[in-house]
Amino acid sequence: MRAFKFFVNKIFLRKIVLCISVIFLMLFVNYTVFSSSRTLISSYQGSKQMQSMNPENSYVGMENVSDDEQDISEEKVQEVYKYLEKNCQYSMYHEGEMIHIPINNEITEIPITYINEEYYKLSNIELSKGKKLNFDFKFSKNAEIPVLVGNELAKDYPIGSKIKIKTGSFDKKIVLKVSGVLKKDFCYTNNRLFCSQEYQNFSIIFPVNRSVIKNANLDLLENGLYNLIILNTNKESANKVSKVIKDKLNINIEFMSREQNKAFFDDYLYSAIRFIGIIVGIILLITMSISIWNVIVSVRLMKKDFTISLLTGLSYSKLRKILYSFYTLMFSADTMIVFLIIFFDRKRAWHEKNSYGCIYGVLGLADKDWMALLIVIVVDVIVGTILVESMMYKIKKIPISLGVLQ
Amino acid sequence: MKNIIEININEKVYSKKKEESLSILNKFNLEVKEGEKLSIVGESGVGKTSLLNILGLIDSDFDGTYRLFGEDTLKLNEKEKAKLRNKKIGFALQESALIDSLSIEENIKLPLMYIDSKDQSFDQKEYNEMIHTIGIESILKKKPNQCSGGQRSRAVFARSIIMKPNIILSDEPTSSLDVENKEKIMNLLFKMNEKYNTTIITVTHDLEVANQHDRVIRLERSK
Repeated sequence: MRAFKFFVNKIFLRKIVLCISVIFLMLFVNYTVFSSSRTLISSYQGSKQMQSMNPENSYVGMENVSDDEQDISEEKVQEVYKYLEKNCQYSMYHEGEMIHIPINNEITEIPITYINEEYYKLSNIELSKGKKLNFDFKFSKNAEIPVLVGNELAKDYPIGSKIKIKTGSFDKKIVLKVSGVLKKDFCYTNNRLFCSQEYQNFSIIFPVNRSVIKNANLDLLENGLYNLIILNTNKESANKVSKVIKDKLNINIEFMSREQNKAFFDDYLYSAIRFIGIIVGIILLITMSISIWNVIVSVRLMKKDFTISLLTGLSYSKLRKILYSFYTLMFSADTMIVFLIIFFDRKRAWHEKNSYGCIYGVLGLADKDWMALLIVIVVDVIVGTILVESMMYKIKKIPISLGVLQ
Repeated sequence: MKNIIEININEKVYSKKKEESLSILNKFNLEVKEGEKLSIVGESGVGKTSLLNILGLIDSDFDGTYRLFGEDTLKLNEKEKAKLRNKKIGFALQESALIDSLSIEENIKLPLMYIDSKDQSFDQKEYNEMIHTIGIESILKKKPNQCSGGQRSRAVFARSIIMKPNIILSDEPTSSLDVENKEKIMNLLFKMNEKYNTTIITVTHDLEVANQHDRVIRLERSK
């Protein structure tokens, strides 16, 4: 311990700026590795969910953004939905809308997700309590719409409770009745961005049927079109839907097969990971060069001190241990900072009921966070080993002799 | 008295390139008994410091054999050698052999920093006595650059004996000292020899210092 303190104070911290630079660079590396790893894990989980959401012979809609002015009116959108109902089997959802409801006597903002029956069937929703979502109802003035609620929301709104809401998707106030509770941490994957998951712990799942569509505002209807999946069809029929939407609303929606959709995402993912990999590689190289240079320069500057240390009992193996301890300490500090960033991020998302992050596991982190942190630790171990062994190789090359002290 | 050092060096070669190689200590044999006081003299470049490097287990890159305390040192690993340097060999060097950023006391106690925790047997009373005998109580908290050459030399000497080593390897310990300090240092060395039967090996240019030892070896350039 004394030898460790001595080396930290007299050698490693001799160039404090370099030391801090290494800590910051490694923090950046750790966080980037963490984010990339978690994205890969999310993508894997998302791809698995999308296998059922995007089955064989289904076509996923994706907007081709253009400068053309859209020509959207409720009437025309309703015509598109009429076409869809008459000619296709389709799934749709609309998420991202926030509503205000009382929770613990406090008006709280929570997300609401609208899904149609096909989407519901494909998403294999598992319930912890209650009944399956009923789509067989008429959207009328006094109707109580059966909804599912997230596991956490169920603490305030258990099965049978009623929720009065006002949303941008309808003109009037509506009454919801809780018919079932989602299993903890249930999430939806974005149709196109598989790495993006929305956790429904605080959400309300609202069933969309024909009567809902008839009464809905543009918000719901238009957004629903951007999240369409045409089922049990072929490219030709999917193109026809695309043409109808283009003709009626001047919106370009291209429908991609399951394979095209997967390839599109893979392409995006790999190019993103490749880019991140290059950046991380460069930063790692800089970090390692700085660290090795720092120690070599320090040892060269302190050749006399180093020789005296060797004469009085320091061994290279002890020095190796000291270096490993030092880098373990530095990298542990970095990993701890990454942990705290995620911890507070999750805590904030949970508090804000943000569906992109409201998942809470062991010590506040989701399972995929822990897996990504584990990857960070593995990377740190590899980097630390390369770093220390390179330093030892360089240090051992410095000739030690009593002549240095004359 | 038994031999504690038995060394046979066929040659020690320094080479940057093959054609520029330098061979020293050719066919050099030496046996040193426990408690013996031995001095090594010779011109510059004959290999006096190289010999001390080998004897002090800093350099094992030579053609030959070296038994220390009956053990073949060429079979020792780097950690075992460091342990021997820490516990059984003291290096009494020139006054400059101090770490400038440490206080005199930290310098003296440096070997204690590298000792295995299970081998800790530091005796504060004995340490105080040693410091008193050497006469450096007043400079313990000072940095080396705040002390005189004589004081620094005594501090280096204190460090070399803090572990009560079996052998003290001494490299020109008095080269930059005045007569009074030279005497003090040599007296301290020989007191260690008397008190603990410590083997003293001194490399020096100073024949007066050399002649105070039991045996003087003159190293000569290889022909």
